[in-house]
Amino acid sequence: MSTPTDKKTEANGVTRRTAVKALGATLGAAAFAKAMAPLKSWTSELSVDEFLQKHYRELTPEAMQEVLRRLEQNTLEQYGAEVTIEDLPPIEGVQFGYALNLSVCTGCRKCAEACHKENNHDRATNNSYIRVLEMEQGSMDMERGTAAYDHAVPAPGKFYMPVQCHQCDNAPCVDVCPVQATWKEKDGVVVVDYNWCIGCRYCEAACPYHARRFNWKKPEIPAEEINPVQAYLANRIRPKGVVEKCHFCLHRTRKGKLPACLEACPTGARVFGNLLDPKSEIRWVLENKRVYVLKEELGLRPRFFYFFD
Amino acid sequence: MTSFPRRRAINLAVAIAVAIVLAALLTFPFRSLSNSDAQAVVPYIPERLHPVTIKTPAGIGTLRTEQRDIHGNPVGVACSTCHADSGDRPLIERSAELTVFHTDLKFAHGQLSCSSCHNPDDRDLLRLADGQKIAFVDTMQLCAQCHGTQHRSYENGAHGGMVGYWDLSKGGRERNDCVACHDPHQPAYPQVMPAPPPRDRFFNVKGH
Repeated sequence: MSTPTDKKTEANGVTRRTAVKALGATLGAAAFAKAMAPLKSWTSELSVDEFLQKHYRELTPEAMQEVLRRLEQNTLEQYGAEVTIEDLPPIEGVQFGYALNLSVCTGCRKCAEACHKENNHDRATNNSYIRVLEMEQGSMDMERGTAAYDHAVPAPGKFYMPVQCHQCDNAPCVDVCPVQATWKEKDGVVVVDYNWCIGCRYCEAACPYHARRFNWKKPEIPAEEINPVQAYLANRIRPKGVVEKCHFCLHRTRKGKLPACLEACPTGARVFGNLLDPKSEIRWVLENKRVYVLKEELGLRPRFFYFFD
Repeated sequence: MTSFPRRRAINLAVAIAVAIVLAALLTFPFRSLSNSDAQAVVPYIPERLHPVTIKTPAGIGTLRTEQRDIHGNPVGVACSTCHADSGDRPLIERSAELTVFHTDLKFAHGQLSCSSCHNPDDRDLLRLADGQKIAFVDTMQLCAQCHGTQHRSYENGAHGGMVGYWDLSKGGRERNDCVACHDPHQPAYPQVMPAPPPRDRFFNVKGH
């Protein structure tokens, strides 16, 4: 195997084996340095406590309280706003349902605007959990709707279909999450643990209603515009790099209030309530109106319904 | 002689197969039953401890003026201030006939005439189709005479804006009445400019 050249190199004291070792060591050191590089970006915004925080459902009540106080402190430091963050459990015997009357919706986007403010969305992107689609009359194909319209509404020949999270019972977004950072709660609301989400966006891709949003950057909101009534699984300000979604305003609805989008609707197109209560408004709508389930053929069993007069 | 054990073996196999099928049939309904058992919680039906109030626009039943009272509320003039002596004048029935007063009134509400709703004998009151006099604040009864479908939806919480609590054991609810949103003289909901669209990078193109 040995050739004259090899012998010459050996004579210089550097064998091929030594060269390969040196190369390997260099590559190894480089890879290690690259792997440790995120430590350089370790800032005060990511505390050790936050890094080591357990999954929402594994937190003891005491640990949860510590997390909430820490998050409140973080909001004060980063946004200059004093907020209260609560951990609100689902109410026993309640299954939330939501219905929207397509016959009266005028597409005014007041719901999307209310969501933007209520849920502390980034001001620059005008983000909202609701996307109002302007649709051609005669078609229910949501992929052909447009959310970017900017003219007086309702426009002739159009109808308007606000789309938000449908809180599916067979939620594909929950199925695809590789770290179980999103799940369905007992009252039917699909929630996200923003501190557990790794930002892979599989859920965003899986959702046929385009209901999930990704925080491309840290949300920016002036301190005086921040809604101080917050909940852990709801409208607390999300960190950069995580996915968020409509949670039926659980920081309001789990205290008995109506969702912000419903209160903002000037036409009364929205009906919200407990599906288990036979005397609730939502049950009356489902039992007496012509109800339409968007993309029913997917078999996801949504908690959000459209109806017509 | 050799067929006897074989027959026993076949019998045994058949018995096992039947047992498996039976077990599957038995466990299937039980499984679905236990599922529904797990979900069959007692529905939460809140007590109606707080009221549902209906908001009526301030100053209804009066003619608005530019004046405001000491509390800053708009001052209205009662209809009877002018409409006191209607007796000998012919009744105006269409908005087009108005030449001196109420000339800015636009009317687009089907084939109704003024006295379909207004009571010509007492202008501070309204009038139902059967002649019954009602106050302006009870205008919903008047609208409901024709718009029964909407009224039924309203009664069941499926028409008209509201704020407050879905759970009336925790707080009250305030609802709009008909004329809070619909101008009775031109009740079609007006065109409005929508709130600004999302400024996401995906929304700059047609489609979403």
